[in-house]
Amino acid sequence: MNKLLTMEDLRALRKDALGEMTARQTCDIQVIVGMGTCGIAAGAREVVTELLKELQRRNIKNVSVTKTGCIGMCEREVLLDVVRPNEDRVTYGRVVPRDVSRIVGEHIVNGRVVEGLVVGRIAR
Amino acid sequence: MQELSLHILDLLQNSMEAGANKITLVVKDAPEEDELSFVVTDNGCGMTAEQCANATSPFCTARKTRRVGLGLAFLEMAVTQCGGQLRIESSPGYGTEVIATFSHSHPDRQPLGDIAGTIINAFMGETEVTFEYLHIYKNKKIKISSLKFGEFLGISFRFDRPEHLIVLEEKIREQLQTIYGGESS
Repeated sequence: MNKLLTMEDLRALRKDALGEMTARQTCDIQVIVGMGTCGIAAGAREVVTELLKELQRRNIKNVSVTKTGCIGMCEREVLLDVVRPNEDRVTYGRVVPRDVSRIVGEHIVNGRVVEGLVVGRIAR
Repeated sequence: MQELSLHILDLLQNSMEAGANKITLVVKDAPEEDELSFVVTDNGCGMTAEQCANATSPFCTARKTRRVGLGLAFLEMAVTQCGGQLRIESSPGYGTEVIATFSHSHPDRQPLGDIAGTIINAFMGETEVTFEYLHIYKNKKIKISSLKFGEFLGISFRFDRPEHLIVLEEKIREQLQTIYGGESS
């Protein structure tokens, strides 16, 4: 059991958090999930919840997760984009929660695109 | 959409697309009055009276990628199939309020579902938005506000930090558990 945090501990925590925030802005990998009505109906919420848990489990800190509205490919929702710095933007389609650990492990951590799930690519 | 909380997620998403930075969600679960209702209030761009009247039509949408918009149409269906009521009040420049009321005991009423998951998904990545969530069950209630939650953590809470979101989700689940004590809606 941890001891109660003192004011000093809290200040240290705050400093860490601020430091991380700046690190985050510089070397970000971005994940963007479609969260329009179509995405929600197809299960985007469950995919995102799984994604957040997977990032937490692997203690990955340099990834930001954001969402976007409908982009017009409703029949291929849930759509999940991974943008690594200086690489093509890759769009995965029909993503279900059990695909998440593969996308995180292969693409986000190791930079290997999970080809079977790709529905689009935008050259940088 | 199979859960009411998915409709709520859709409404919250609408609010943010309307440029709101202050959003309130109230869920009232009152089996003793045979009522389950939720209200989403935002300070977004609002709608004109005409847009408001057409909002639940599937062929009325503000988006440009397709000519159909099913979000509110789905909600209206969920409401009418169990004898409930949907009210949308809005004024341009001030914001919008959506009120959905359901008959609690109706067999076709969708379950409330995963509210905690809905909230963290809705506000994920939105650094400019503050929200308040009030949940009333019988005579018990919980209130969670994004500003207070930051104070509770002792650091500035950020919706773009996966680890903060997970803490928020656990907190909401824990609070809901305390008012429901094992029962479900």
